[in-house]
Amino acid sequence: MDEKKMRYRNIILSTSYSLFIIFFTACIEPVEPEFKLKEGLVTVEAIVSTTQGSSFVTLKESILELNRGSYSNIFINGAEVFFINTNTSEIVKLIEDKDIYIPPNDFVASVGDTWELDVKLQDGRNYKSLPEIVPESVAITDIKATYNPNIVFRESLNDYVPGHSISVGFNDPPDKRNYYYWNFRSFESRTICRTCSSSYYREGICCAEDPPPIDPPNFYRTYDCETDCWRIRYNENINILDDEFVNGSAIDQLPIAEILLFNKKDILVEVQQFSLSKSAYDYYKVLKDIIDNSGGFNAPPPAALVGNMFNPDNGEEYVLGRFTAGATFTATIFIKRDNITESVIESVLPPFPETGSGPMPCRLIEEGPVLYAPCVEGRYVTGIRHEDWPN
Amino acid sequence: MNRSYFYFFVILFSISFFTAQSQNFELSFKVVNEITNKPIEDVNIFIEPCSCGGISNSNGQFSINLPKGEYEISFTYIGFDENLQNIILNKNLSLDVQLNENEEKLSEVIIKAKKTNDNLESLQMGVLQLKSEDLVKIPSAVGEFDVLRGITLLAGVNNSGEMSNGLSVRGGTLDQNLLLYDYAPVFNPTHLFGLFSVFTPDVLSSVNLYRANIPARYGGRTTSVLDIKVKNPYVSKLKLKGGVGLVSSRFAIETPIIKDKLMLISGIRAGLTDFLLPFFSKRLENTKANFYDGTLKLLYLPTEKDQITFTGFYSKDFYQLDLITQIENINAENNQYDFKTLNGTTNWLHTFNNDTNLRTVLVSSSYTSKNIFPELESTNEVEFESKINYLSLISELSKKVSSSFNYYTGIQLNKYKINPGELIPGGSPTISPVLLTPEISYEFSVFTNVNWKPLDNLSFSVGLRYNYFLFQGPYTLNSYDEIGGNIISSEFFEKGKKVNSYSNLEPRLGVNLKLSKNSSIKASYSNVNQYLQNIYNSTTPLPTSRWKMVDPNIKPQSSNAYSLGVYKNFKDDKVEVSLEGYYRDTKNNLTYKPGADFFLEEALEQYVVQGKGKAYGVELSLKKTKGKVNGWFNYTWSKSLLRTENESLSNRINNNQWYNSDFDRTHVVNTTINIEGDKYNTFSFNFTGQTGRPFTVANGSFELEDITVPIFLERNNSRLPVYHRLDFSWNVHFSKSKEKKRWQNDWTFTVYNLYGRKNPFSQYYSQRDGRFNEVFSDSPLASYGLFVSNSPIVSLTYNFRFQ
Repeated sequence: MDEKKMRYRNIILSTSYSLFIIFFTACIEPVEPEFKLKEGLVTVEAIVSTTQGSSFVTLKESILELNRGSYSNIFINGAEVFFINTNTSEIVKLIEDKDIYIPPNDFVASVGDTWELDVKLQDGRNYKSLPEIVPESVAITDIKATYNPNIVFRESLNDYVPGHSISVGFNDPPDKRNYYYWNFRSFESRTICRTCSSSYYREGICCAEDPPPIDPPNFYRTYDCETDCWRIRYNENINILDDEFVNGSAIDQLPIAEILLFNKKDILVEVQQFSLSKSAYDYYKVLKDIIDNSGGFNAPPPAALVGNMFNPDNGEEYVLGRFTAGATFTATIFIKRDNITESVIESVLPPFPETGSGPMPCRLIEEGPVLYAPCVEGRYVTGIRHEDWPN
Repeated sequence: MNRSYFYFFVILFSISFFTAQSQNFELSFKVVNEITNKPIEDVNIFIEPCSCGGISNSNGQFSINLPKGEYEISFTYIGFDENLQNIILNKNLSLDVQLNENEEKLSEVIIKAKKTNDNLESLQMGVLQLKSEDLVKIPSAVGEFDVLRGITLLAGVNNSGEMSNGLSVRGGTLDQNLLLYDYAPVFNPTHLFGLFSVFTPDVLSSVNLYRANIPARYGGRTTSVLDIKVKNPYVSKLKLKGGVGLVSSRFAIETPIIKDKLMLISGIRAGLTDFLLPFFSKRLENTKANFYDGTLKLLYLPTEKDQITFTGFYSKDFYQLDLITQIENINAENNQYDFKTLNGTTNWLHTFNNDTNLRTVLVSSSYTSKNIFPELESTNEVEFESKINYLSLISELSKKVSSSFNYYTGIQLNKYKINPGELIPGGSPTISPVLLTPEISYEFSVFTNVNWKPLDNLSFSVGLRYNYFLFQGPYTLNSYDEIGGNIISSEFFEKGKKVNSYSNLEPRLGVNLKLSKNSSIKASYSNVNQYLQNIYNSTTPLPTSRWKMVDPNIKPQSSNAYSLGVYKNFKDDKVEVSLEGYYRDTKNNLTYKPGADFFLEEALEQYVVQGKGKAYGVELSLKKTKGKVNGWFNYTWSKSLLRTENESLSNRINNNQWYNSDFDRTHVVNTTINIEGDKYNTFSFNFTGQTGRPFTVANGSFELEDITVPIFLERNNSRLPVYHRLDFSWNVHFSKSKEKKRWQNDWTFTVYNLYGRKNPFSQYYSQRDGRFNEVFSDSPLASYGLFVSNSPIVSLTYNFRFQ
């Protein structure tokens, strides 16, 4: 082969290879989020439950501060909120507690009862729900965790990430159509209860020293938990099922949650299985389309999350959210993760406690090095050991 | 004497004048074969404006005496390309004429058959046409010319992006176009979720898109008819054609089976290279994508007056793609798509005389789509299957009464059988089988169309089509309460019992007023009703999207389309310019209730909303058809709007206000330039730019447990960024340099999206993951764009021809 021919051949081959590399280059990239914000939208999220302590109502209204360009949903306080049992005419008044309205502690809904929600705001606006019948709960008979090194594609990392798929088994009641919704809480033990950036933990706060401390710029200090403490995570996806194709079957290994490998600590997963009405299921289906199904080539057009709430005085007002009567069954599973070889998703700063050598920071407040911080109860942290956490 | 001199000079002057005017010169030719240089005998030589001529002798020679002047001479000979010469005869002239051997060395029988057929396929007003030679010039994504992509470069034609399972014509939806492949409807026209169209590339003859006054012989879709024809194999010797590409490879054969009686063309294409995908991106690890299609056409000429053709078409796809939403309520490892089309057309053309023909066509079209659900930790596969079967008999008589009057009239009987869905559990102990009731319906149509030219510069095309649509049982007819949400009663209709019927009279009108030799004004009106629609609640349908006939609850869509255009040709018709305006209103346009889910749903009407639609626009088109640099430029300004009227607040779309449809594009520019450099190299550029597709942005967000939920109250209230793209194609026909070579090769090198424009297919919200991201700033939600191609896509295809 002469030199010229050889050169052409090389060009052709390299072109072909370039095609291999860039063919089918469908990709996902972050873009600036765009909104056409509207204020005054009222969102009601309410659950009446068969489990003690699980019933609640939240009321929020969207506020747009044009001069600051900020948008927020603020809690509507001072409202009169009632659960009304249309079977017995029982009226349960809910009490405002921080950012939530809750019924009396001993309140539980009974299966088969019909409940409505009635809300009166301080400004006279009134919101009601359509009636909801409390369905029968269905017991989880089996719960499993299966590790998958590529469980889900994470856009922010542009890669598949590892994690456990949680699946459940249950016997679907054969005599009627059933609808299910699952959520979960996961508990991981927490060793560091506070991290202070360019500051030190003193008397419940991170204290910045003036004049600046001897530590290098952008330093941080970590403080171990004083007591046992757990980090709580919640589901980020919507998992639902309509038994239209499996009515009356013994459901086995139905994946209902993904526990991503944020770290390799042992984890307890508490799954709640809700039995829902058809209209509640339809609502969660729209929610799933909005949250989980919006990114594909066949994404359905987004829909308004209008449930069963309405303003009786203004039929044209969109009232978002839903009043749902749900019966729940809870199951837990404990997963050991220390032998997993894949890398974790979350990068964690290594512990860097105060040493006590050198001048004491914030010495006006407290003398000596501080090594511990309390486990502060909250939505994402608890110091209360879950009853299924192994000893 | 003076008087005598006067007469003498007058006579002398007259003689010299007339002699000068009628001075004859000899014009002689020698006609030879361009390749062999051998003389050709019996070449037809026709000279204008004298309308004289003759045939060449055994030495290929011919001579004639003609007066001084300008002449156009045509040389024609069977099996050779026509040669046209323009000469100025002011002296004796001897010319050597070379005729180029045509691909096809055809007999008189075939020539006659070909002419008869071509006349019948002649065009009518308001049609856009792409011939196969135009199609091959358009750069495609992966080195192959493609019908649907080519059509989107014409004025008023669009799609829903790179991944589009069909066409949008003048703002209509994808299922409002009737796609015909040799008379047989194609229900799913694309491979690989829209990357390629299914029509076997090497066997295509022509592509006609009727979007204004749709001819009366067509009906059933409200927006347009895309009529794709397979070549009639008028061949006398074997011809092979094919290509090898990285995504697909193809092969076609044309051959006589019995000389002058029976001929065949057949093409096949297959794409089986999906095993390479994981090398490109981790995201494609779980992706599978294989496809193939094949077309076979037999032409039988039993007598001089009869032509019978049979066209068979088969297309099959299988794919699995992470970027498609999984179907709810079936527990599976993944969702796989498996779908196929099987069409057959028998076409008998009988010629009574030169002016009268009868065409009878029998069509069978079948489309089967499957979702396969491999069960978790099991070898069992659950399947969902749906099917549509279409049978049609068409008979059409056409007659040319005079040069100014011709007509066609005919009947069409269609039968539709739709199996909306069946869930087949296989060996699954938990899944219950589901079988939705099949839908059976008939459509009977009578049509006629008259083309009348009362004046030299005025012609009319007047058509009328009458449809009677009959929907039969088995069917459960539900009645709903006033809001439309709850079933209040049901009535079951036995098999064969009439459920309901619709009848519609559809006028079609076209007027052409010629203002001068090269300019005209055209106006048209057409009314079309649609009895079959594709139900999908997304931007583009999935191959498994459901087809639905109209019934008592879902009414036929109906459109009235008006258009007016001005057309002018320049430079001896080498440059064509047109300006067309259109307005179309549609009623019973199908849209879907928020959150609608149609999978295996018996009472589909609960999830659809029928509303109004209107579309209007202006299209400017400039086309240069000849010359070394040719191509076209199209600009369209248009609107496409929809509106629903729904009592229930939660079921309203955009609160019952007019909103932009998915196919609304305010500005669209398409340009194609072909540079035929020399006989070895051809270059093509294609630029397309358009206003971004409407999409929906959130009106706010709220927290639900740990999930941030976007709030949507409007639909299509924003637009994706402007879409633009430049493609390049370079074709090297290197084998032309060698004489007498039957085996010809060329390479096609294409670059799709030459400057690597990132055109988003869609944009959507996602949860923030706690990490700082500059792009998202302090937004409560993350947002991502889905880009089908974000860099130039280079492809190289080897093509061959043997003839």
